[in-house]
Amino acid sequence: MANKHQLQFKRLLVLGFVIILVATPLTAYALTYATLEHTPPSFSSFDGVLARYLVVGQQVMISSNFTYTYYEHLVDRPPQEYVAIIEVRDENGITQSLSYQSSEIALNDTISIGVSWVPEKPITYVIRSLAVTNFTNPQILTDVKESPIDVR
Amino acid sequence: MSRSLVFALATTVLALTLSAPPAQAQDFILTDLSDPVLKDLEHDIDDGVTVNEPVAISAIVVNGEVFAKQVTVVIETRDSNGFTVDVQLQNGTVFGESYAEFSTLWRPQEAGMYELRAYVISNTQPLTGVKTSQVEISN
Repeated sequence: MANKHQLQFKRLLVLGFVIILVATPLTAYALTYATLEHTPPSFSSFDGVLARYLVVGQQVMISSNFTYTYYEHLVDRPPQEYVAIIEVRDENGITQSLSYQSSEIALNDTISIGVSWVPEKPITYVIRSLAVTNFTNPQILTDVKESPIDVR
Repeated sequence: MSRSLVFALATTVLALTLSAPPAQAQDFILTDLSDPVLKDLEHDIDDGVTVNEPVAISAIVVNGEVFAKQVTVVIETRDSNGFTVDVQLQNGTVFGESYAEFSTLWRPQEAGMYELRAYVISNTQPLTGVKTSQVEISN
């Protein structure tokens, strides 16, 4: 009986070691994880008033903020190169406007980008924003955020 | 106080005043803008563009100051008659002692010579002069 308990104890001990061995690298990865986060694109007039819908021919600014966030234990990561993209697609999924800005962003910094756009048809457009590292060897830095907007 | 001493003091004050540029002039010098160029996604386009071919118009803003700057870049296209055929404003952040490239897609509708114009403003004040370049669009 005592031997059976000892065996179970040993098994638990081994299992514990295995869990520690597996979990430690995962925790370290989580602590060194940095990411570029961004807000869904929003629309405003040039004096900053947010718009729920637009009118054909009305010039608006499409804006999105990108922040390079990080966890506390990561302090020496170099600046991240990025290309922040804002795209306008019509109801058929065809790109009507495309603008982008590229530079480098340091940890914990935020960039605010905006592009002007004049809708030409009374339809529902979809505005998309995302970021990649560059166009030469692109790696995705963010997910794609979409904001539909009605034009009347 | 002798006349020569007064003269020397006045000359010194004048020299110091003239040698110290006003703060606004320093701001003007410390933001620079490249000439606008046509690009594909990666490179400058040197050998012409055809009608309906989408290309990017790009300009690089350099911020020589220590602090980040929120700027607006105006990118305008004019045809050979001087009429504006396309204009776009882009807001962006340029960090201190850094740069940012601003690009917008343009699809020329007609063949001919076009002038690309770009300049930078911040809070309605011009930060750079107008930078221009000529491009030819062919059929």
